[in-house]
Amino acid sequence: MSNFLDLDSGEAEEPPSGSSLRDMLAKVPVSKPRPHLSPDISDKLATTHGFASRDHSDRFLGGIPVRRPVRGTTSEETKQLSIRMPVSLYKDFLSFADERRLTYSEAIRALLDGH
Amino acid sequence: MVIAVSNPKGGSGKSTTTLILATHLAHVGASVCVIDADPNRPIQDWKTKGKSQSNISVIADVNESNFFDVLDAQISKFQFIFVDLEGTASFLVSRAISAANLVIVPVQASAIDVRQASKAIKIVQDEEKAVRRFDPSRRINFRILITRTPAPGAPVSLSQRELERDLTEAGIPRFTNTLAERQAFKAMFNLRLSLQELTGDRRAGNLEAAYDNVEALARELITISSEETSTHEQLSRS
Repeated sequence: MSNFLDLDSGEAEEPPSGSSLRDMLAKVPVSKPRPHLSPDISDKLATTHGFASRDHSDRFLGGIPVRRPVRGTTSEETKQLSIRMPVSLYKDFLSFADERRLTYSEAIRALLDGH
Repeated sequence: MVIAVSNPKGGSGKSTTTLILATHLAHVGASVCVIDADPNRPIQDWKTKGKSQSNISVIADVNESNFFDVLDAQISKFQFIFVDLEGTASFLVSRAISAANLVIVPVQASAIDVRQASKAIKIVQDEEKAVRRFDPSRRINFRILITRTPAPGAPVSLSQRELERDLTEAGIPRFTNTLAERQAFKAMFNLRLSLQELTGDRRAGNLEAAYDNVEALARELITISSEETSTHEQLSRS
């Protein structure tokens, strides 16, 4: 049984022979700009097919990858903190840290010092 | 012409297909750009870390957010813009498909590849329906390209014959030419050279046969490209 039976049909065509590839190329125009599908519509469609965002561009500033600064050495003892929070708050916090090029602990310190 | 090379399955031959066609078209005089949208940047590495004199232009550092801007900045400069996509089902892939004139879906003759290719084709069809709502003349054509096939004359596997039969029965368009498993194609990546630059290198194997394979594939691609252009012009006028 075909693996493709549930797909719409298309048409195949035979390539011509005779003319050289250079001749054929001479007839191919330069590409033209075309309006794009709204990303929202495209993403919504893609989601129904199991596609998902894998974009990490929020980790980029002006096209330059943000390198999280190496954690500074400290003589103070450290402890792990794991926090569950709403996604919106999580994104806001990461943006806050990235924009200031702070580690997460430095960002928490900056936020605490702001009060 | 914007050509997206896509199959959510990794290792199906997307980057190989892109590099082979892009460098060959450039060799015979076409203006060619490759947008390397694979996070592993295989084409970008080939260009920047190798010594090839091929004049293909390669752009990396694309993501979901900037893809359309990157494409718009290049589109008027080239006859062919290839988008080598990552082997995942991401929004970057779907957006690239929505902007393409043609989607090449490389497939090896394996059940996993075929299932993933079906996923790519279904989204092509849905994206085309969506873009035609605001531009009825717009088409997103697609073609399956069977990759890593035996050299001409060698026995064809049962799974490949079944795949070809399935495609025919379902009316799925495909390249009549396949991309054979060739030492020369591997050498292009390993040595970071174009096919033409491998002349005289014994590591390339049967270079002449590889060249014939790419030439036939490129001719078929240009034929599809020409038909797409004329169909679009006819629909735009009507």
